[in-house]
Amino acid sequence: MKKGTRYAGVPRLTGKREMRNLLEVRPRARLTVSILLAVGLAGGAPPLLADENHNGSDSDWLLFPSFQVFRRSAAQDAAPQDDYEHGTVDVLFSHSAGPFRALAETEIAASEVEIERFQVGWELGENTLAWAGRFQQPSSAWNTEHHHGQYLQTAIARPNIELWEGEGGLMPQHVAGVLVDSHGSLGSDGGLTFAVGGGAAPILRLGQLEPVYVLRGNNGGHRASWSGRIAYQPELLGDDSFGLLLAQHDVNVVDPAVAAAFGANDVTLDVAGAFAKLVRDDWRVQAAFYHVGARFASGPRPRSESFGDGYLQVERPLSARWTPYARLEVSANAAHSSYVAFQSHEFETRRTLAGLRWDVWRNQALTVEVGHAATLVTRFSDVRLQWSCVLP
Amino acid sequence: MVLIVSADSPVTHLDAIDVRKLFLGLSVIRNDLSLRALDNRSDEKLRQAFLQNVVAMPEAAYEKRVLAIMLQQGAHRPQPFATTPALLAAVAADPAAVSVAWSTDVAQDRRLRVLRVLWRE
Repeated sequence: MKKGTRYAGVPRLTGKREMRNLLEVRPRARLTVSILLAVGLAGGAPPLLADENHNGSDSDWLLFPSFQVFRRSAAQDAAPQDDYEHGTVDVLFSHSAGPFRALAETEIAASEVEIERFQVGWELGENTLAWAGRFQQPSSAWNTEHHHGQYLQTAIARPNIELWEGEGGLMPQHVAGVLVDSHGSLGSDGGLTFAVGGGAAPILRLGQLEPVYVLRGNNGGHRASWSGRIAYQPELLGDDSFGLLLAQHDVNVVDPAVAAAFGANDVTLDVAGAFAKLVRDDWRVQAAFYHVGARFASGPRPRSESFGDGYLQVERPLSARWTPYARLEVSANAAHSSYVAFQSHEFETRRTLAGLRWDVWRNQALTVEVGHAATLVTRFSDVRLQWSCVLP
Repeated sequence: MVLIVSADSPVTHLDAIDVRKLFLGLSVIRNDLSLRALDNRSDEKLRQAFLQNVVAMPEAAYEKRVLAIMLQQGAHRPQPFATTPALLAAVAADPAAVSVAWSTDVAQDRRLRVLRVLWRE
């Protein structure tokens, strides 16, 4: 155990792997994954080309299959259980009819099928969309850009502070409610994007954050969440952007063990962050930093604490096909946070990684990644190999 | 290379930034009509001219950008067409359609209207 870790004694709680045991493993899901991966491996499918009979359909879909294997040096009982599924297919469907929009993003894995986003929207104007449903909250710099599409992110692993709830993530990522997304020009060349969302926050149950589910039953008790981002683009529609992130999530702590460790059955997370994305002379830099305040107001002794976490990723394509990259993730004051301690085995307080992506074929990539990380309870190294693809 | 619409289209002008937005899959509305980009893949030289002069990025970057915008906003990719006759027929039939073509391919086609010249050889 890390010296000076004040809250590392919080009992280890049920993680995703245990959760999966509670779920029925669906043979149909396994079959679907197998078929879709096989289709992907058949590979290099060009985009569907329209013919004379094209009727101007306003529906579109994408498949993001990925498969990965990894090896980790840490002992099993100390290692994080945020292991990615070996094979997943992210299915995106969108439809529009006039100003009406619908979007569904479903992740299919061997152990579960979950609708990650389910939104219906209305185009308020050329540059503004209002959505209702389950969405990914806009104050995540990484997830707002990549969502679940593994192929579109150069690195295999997401930064730890950006992990999904079911992977041991500390921050609420999926919210059910209303989202407004807008973009426009600023000055002669620049652009400004703005998004704000509000709705039902995840609850903290069985050792992890649990958002409102679309397919599974919900336990209720969800409280309010709001989140927003504002970003400036020096060149409208360009790659560069700089932005600020703000959020407040009221998380109901249903898990008795965690509530006892917190000394409260409710935690309010106040999040302030900033991000930057820069592309210069083939160098691509992406960075974000979050300051997270946790307020425990419902217990007999109201208190608050805070920690910080951020990352810097640098990529430098050597050619159209080869892209080496590296990332540094650091945290501040995490060892003294009882909120971080509820994911003491999962949350990596520091990680360095390096990788190489090979765009081996049209819309397919192979990526190898090595990393070294520390949680509140152990240190370890790992190596990952991933195949990812987008279809059609 | 010219920007074309149907002869029945109410669109009379599109700025360069609107054209770029349209071909990235972002929404462009004119006269209450949500415009739709059709992707002319009939000719490699035309494709290179389009990438350089309309979206200003290489092929791989353009494809990833369109996919990312679709993933982020549920937008639609420009529908690709492999042959010029199929593309021109689709543009002619849809007042909301916008595409690019060689001026020589559309010069005598009364079903179509040229909005602007995008590039000259």
